[in-house]
Amino acid sequence: MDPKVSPKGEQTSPLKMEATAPALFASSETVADLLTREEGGVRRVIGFYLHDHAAVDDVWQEVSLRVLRRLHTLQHQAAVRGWLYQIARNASMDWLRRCDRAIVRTTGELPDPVASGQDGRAPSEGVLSEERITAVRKALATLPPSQREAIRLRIEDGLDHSEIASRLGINRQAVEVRLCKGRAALRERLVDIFEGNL
Amino acid sequence: MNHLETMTCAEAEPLLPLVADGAIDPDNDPALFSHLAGCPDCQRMVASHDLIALAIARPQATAPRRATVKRFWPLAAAACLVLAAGFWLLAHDRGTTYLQTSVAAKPSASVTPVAVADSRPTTPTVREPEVIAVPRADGTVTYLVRQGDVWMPIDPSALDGPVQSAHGSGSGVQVRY
Repeated sequence: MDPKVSPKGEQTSPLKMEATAPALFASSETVADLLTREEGGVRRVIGFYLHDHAAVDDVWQEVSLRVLRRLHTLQHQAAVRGWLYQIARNASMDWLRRCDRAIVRTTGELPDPVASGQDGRAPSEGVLSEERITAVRKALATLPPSQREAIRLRIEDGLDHSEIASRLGINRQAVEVRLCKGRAALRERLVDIFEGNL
Repeated sequence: MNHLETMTCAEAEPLLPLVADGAIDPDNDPALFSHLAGCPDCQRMVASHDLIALAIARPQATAPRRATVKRFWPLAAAACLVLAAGFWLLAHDRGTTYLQTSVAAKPSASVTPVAVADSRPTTPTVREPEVIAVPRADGTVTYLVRQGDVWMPIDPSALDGPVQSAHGSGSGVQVRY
């Protein structure tokens, strides 16, 4: 399944901060009110992915735009904060992927320090340093082959759970168990590296 | 605020790898996402799951090698050209030296060099010296040695080795009539 909020069609009408989603009508809260109220929490989520203040500002702007565009997909007022959290998470990940792709496309190599981020570093460099990537690959190599293969098929090859099940000749539930255990084991082994400064 | 926030971290944590995997989203588990929205600890865990996946998905470090080759190929090509030119000059120089030192001919200043047409294919590398003997009306013989495209008269006594009769050859000197 796509990790992003499932798109149910983009809103084509002019975007207005005064707009209200069906789920927000009851409280008469506008999008501007919602964003103002939730800005601190959303910025904190983005900060777990990006360590650069300018980049956090950029992604916050992107989150605001996505909220306006996808307002009609919000079904329940009670779920608005979880919905916002997912938008912030997806926007942060998209930003990191774009940053990486842009650097690789321009220089033909993995990111070098550039002057666009704090301390003269690329904003993605801190979270995706060579040291971290090497540690991740080493940790991946220590996983049981069944979990490692499932993770590679899912993350590197981009197969969904059904395709992985078909490829490995197992059922879908077994795939999810392998992915879940494998990811949990990876995080356990890398917690000091990835959560030490979060 | 509402019933969605009743989930605890202990209940949420086993599900976080599936959140990172995309198997769970706000539509199919709003309670979990409501908890996530207000729990920095669980947010941090999901973020580390996400960043680990991003690191796995990243291309292997083969790109820098390609970039290095792309950046330095003109330099490498120039170095190859210099080396090739050096080898060619060395070979050419060796051929000339061999001609000059083996024959050690000393052209007479009183005789004008005579250009001799030579139909034989010539090679730019090592070439054996050629000497011809030209009988003259007074019964003497003039010896000519080839230097490049020009035949130079020489004194036979100036040759390194003993010059055999006009009909023979020796000392590595090829005599051609």
